[in-house]
Amino acid sequence: MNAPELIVDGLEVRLPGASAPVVEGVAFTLAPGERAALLGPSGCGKTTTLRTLAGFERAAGGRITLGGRVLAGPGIHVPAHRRGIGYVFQDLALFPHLTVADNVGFGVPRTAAGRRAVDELLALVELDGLRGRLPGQLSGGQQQRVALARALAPGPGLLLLDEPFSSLDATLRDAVLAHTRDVIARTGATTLLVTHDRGEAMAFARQLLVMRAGRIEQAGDPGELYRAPRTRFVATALGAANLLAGEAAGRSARTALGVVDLEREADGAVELCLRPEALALAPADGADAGTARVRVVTRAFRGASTLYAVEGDGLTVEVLAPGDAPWRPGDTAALIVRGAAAVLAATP
Amino acid sequence: MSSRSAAPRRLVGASASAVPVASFVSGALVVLAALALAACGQRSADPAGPLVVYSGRNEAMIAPLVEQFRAAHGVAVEVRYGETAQLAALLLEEGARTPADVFLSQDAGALGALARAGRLAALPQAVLDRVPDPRFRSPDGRWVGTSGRARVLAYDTRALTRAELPTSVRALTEPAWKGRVGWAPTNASFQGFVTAFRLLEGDAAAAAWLRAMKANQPRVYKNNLAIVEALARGEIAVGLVNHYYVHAAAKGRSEPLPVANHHFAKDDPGALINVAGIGVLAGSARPAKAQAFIEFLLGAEAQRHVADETHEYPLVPGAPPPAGLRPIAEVGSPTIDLSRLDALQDTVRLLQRAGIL
Amino acid sequence: MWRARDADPAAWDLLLHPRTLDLFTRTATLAVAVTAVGAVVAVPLAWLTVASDLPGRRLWTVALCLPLAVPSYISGYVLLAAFGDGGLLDRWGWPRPDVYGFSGAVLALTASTFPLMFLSCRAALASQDPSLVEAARALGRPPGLALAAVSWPPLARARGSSGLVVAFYVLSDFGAVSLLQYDTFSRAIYMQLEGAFDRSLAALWSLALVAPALALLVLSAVAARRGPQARAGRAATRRPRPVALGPWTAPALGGCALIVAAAVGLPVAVIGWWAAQGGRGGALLDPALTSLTIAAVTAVVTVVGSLPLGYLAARSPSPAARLLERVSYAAYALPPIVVALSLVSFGIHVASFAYGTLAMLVFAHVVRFGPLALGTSKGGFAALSPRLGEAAASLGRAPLAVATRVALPLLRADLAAGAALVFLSVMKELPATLLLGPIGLDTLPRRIWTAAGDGNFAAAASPALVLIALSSLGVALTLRHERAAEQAA
Repeated sequence: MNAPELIVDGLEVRLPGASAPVVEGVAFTLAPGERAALLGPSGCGKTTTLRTLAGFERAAGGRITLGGRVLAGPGIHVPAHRRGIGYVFQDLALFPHLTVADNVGFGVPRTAAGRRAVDELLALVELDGLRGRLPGQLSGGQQQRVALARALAPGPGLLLLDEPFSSLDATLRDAVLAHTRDVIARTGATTLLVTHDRGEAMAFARQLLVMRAGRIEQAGDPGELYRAPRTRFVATALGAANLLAGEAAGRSARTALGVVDLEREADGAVELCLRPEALALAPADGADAGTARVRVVTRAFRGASTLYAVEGDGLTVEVLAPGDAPWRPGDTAALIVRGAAAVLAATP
Repeated sequence: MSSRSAAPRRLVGASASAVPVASFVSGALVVLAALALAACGQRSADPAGPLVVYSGRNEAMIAPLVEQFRAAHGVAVEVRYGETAQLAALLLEEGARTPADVFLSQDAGALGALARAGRLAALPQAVLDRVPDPRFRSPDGRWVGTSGRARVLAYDTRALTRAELPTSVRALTEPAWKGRVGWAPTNASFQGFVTAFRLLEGDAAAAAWLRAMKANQPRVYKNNLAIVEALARGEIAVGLVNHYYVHAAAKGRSEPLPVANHHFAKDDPGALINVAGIGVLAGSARPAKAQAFIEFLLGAEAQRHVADETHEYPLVPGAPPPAGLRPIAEVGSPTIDLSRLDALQDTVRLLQRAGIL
Repeated sequence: MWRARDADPAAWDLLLHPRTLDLFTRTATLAVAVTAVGAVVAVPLAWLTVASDLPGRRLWTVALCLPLAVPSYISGYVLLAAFGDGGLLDRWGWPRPDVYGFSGAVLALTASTFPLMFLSCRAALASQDPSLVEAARALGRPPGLALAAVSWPPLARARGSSGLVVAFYVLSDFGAVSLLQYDTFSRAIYMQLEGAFDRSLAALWSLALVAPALALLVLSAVAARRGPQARAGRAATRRPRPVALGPWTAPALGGCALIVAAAVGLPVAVIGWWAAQGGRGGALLDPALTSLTIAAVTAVVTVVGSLPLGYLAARSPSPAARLLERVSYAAYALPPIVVALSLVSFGIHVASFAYGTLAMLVFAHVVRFGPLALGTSKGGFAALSPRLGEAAASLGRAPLAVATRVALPLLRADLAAGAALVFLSVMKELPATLLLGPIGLDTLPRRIWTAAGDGNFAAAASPALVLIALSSLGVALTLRHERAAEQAA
């Protein structure tokens, strides 16, 4: 399948009854076949963005182009049923009066080719044996797969997923997510997942869009964003973050934890982000004189790793140590900075 | 959901489960269309078209007459049956565009209201002269009576003898009748009687009588027949009704009805004779047919039919009164212009002020 | 309405007359009482026939709808013949309730209107997500209480709209109140129209009747803003297991039987007694077919027409849409004759091409009985997740297909209830048929009216029996769709 490219430019959405726009100035591009995730807290406008892409909401400004075709723009609003965009709803929205096969076949012409497409998808999501069931007779994971198959059946160029895993329990979620990613990869559709779960977003996406208060704060490869967030918001959205002030000069900065390396060049007063795994603890007596001394406040054993909160110089930071790390609350240790710190923008 | 723009005609049919509904609906629509087309052809101002009659009188009585008329004159007739007052309101609402040629009314009041609104055409003198008593036709020749109905006091023959009954309707305000009188203030015949009372005795006297009656706690009924039935059940002792309802209520009963008519004395307002009548709508495209129909209704055969069927008084000289009734000349109806009974508005107001309506 | 402008200035005096206020109070009291009593009767019956294992639920459902098919003058006659002075109980010397005045009017009107609420509540219960009940049970409520807690919102919605319809029916009723001698506003309007041929004053009084009703509607529309919109999802609808009545089965059956006997059995018995007196029958096939066709067509047209408005009312956030919906109820609050006459005026001046045709009559019925279908349509949409429509659209289905393949099947129970209500009402409708129908249109109610007007109750019996029989058939057929929907889900 030739997946199309999605270009969103300056998108603005207003909902009835709200004075301020819910989505403002959102711009991003998804390459053909791209698998992206839109991450943000509830109420940030991510679902509204998705619904506007699908055509359920009207864009108040900006432009949406899919495979060279303008779906929304000044004076243009292609209705949802003419967009050819697949959508998986948070509540799945399966048709309760139709069987599994009829649900999946809903958007497919009743031809031999259509029936074949339904059969293939049912096989793909491993629901072959349940085609005659009604949605009410399925488990949550099965329902989720029906919803995915239904959205994929018409062969959409773009697939939108609105928190489709949120109703699943944690143990099931990873497997379903992997399966979904696998199925989508086989169809080759350009995909955008909306979620508030960073683990889900990073596990699913090749491109990550972090959204805050109706705007995209930062976009890029999930690993890159995790390593080098540009704002405090993105830094905390993607994982635990130790935020500390420093005085930068080139690729290093002086901080309360000593001199640390920087991800990029900076000068003057900066705010830095150090991930807990970029820090390590060492026995206090064997350490260099220049190393910071800290006192262990709390310890959370996680099997493969142990998360410590340590205090030194009035500053509390989190440290991710190996599972067998020996320190107990009250112990004194040396704090070693192993990785480079991300330099955050000066604004909030 | 975006179903708002769904076109109603095609709503059914796409889904397999809706097929029985679809076939049913389309079948029904076809029948409807056929009926509508059939109905369309009959509405026209064509003088050759059928005579259109609005009848406030019951179909059971009128339909055989219409059939006889059609057979005798070869004129097609279409009749819209309804309640007299509702048909009068309909005719007023339709105005000059009415498809009706003739209005057959249960009472003179409705005819008077239509005449006053300029909706009735003048009748030829020859037609009017069929009913010589000037009390039973419109003085300006807009309508003519077809049968007469006397106001009477019907009474429960198990509870009362004729000698115990009053000679005047005024006596019903006496304490002896407290709670024992039935009346139907919403009924047009009753309101016609009150109007006659007003015209004969003056508004003040009528109002005083109504208030005194109200204080005497009469029982209120929907219509005359309900009063007669209430008499038969023993709910009340006497009731103000038209004379033929006793006959009507007796019809089809296995045991004899314990109710009889009592006429008030001559010239008492309670002895009023009102008429059912007929008029031709102004602007009728078929005046000749309309006139023929009226002449037929005033003919001996039709007059006898009405007397037999409804027990109402024929108004054409020579036609005998219904069996068991006093001749109309012996009923002492007060002399009053029945046309003026269309002044019901003031009567209704009077009834409302007295707290009766 | 514009008739009111022409009204005599003196009429305004009358409007300010203390009697007007008195009439208003009496009318309002009656409307409230009938609605309340109706709810007390209808809600348990709806629950029994939907959610319990009551034997013969289908049969009871149809039987409990039938009071709608009994023409009001028959039920009024029955009430008087049974309980009135000189009635059966009186003759047998038994103690009897006082049926004249307020209590009688409440009794008669409740008997003829409770099916309106019954059907709406049934539809609301039938389309309810059973997992909600299970959720409530999981939260520690015993079955009965769980049901009460969870069923309350949809029931309240159903009672809200159908209660409005019942209240408005009471406002517009003339037959029962005049028979039972209880003065209301609509009696006053009739008097103006029928006694005085005064359309202006009747119009003015109609306005006086509708104005407070409309005010109430506006208030309720504002209040409805905070009401629940749609439920989270209807994806996993299963039929719930019927609640076992156990030892309560017998009392439940007894209660149903009592109500059916009073509201249906008695009138049918009386009609049967009339029929036994013997009378000329006359061929009834043609009027029966005509009545059936008109009622069926009107029911379908009304239900289909109610969809956009019901959709808007349930979904649109704008108060204007809700107001529009509420105002459409006004036609139901007016005495039928007033509505018929205003449509005559409209027909002869605006739509003269259709005047005097069946189409005009169907239109009149749709206007008058629209609220019956609107209430159930709105309730259905309110309970339908908007996600389902969006899902269909995202699968490339145009709005029309969304309506036929998703909305209609899922709304079937609600639409069937609406159709049944309209069907039953039209089957026995008289004044509009007489005034607006094609000349000579022969329907069953007209046959009954003609025979009864002639005092020939024996002749009225056979058309009345056919009317009730066909009505039950119609209800049974309509409710089959509800059953089909239940089985599918």
